[in-house]
Amino acid sequence: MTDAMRRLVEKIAEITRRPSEDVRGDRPLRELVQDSFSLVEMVIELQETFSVQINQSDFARVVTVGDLITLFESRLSATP
Amino acid sequence: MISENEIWLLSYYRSSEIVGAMFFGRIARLLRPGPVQADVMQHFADEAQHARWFTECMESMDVTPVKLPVAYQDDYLATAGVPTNFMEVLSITQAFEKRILNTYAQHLKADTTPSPVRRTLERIMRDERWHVQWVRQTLRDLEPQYGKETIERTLQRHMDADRETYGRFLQEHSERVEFLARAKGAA
Repeated sequence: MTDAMRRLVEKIAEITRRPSEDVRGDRPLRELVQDSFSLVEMVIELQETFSVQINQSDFARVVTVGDLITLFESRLSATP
Repeated sequence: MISENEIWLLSYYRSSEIVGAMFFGRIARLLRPGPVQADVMQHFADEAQHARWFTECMESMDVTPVKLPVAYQDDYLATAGVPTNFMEVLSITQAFEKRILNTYAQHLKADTTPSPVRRTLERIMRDERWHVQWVRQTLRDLEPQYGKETIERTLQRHMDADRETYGRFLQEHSERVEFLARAKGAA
């Protein structure tokens, strides 16, 4: 696991108030959050924390935790 | 005398105002202190107040609001997708607030609308107009950050999702909202 991945998993665990072990790559995101509003909060908070920007069309392809981490990692590596 | 359909619809409005207040409360928590956060806080305070006014309005007519498990916003997010940044939150809010204003205006046109409901809707609509204004202005202020074209495209997408959601709402609850369709000047 890369450092960025580890930090993302830890942050998702913190936001969703779950142990890091629950934040597995194959897990659907909807299982980790209570409702759509919690999902909105989580995605915005992650962008604030990691200073990256994503939009709805990027997020439309995200189903699992792994998909979200891949998306954020791609943005982090693109940031100079 | 208030009809069962109108009680249901007022309860639905009330439930949607509660959900709106909670959503904006959560968004306010994410923002940095400043004028935009202050507007978001005013917005969620208004929505909570509207839910209270609907409750008071119904109680004044000796009816109890129905506790509904769903609100308009639930279906909205399912159709429009999850907003992923503040601009998208505001864009979806703009489409939603305009729909609410139109729906309340339509409700006012129905001859059968009781006076307490009429007064409550008029009072709420004053705030809703301000909601549309501050969101529109903030979206303009966000143009340097997100790009004017991107914001316009996002607004268009959310307006399309709004039409789809509202069409489904009318279909699903056709019997309950039929009196709105019969109101003067209904589209």
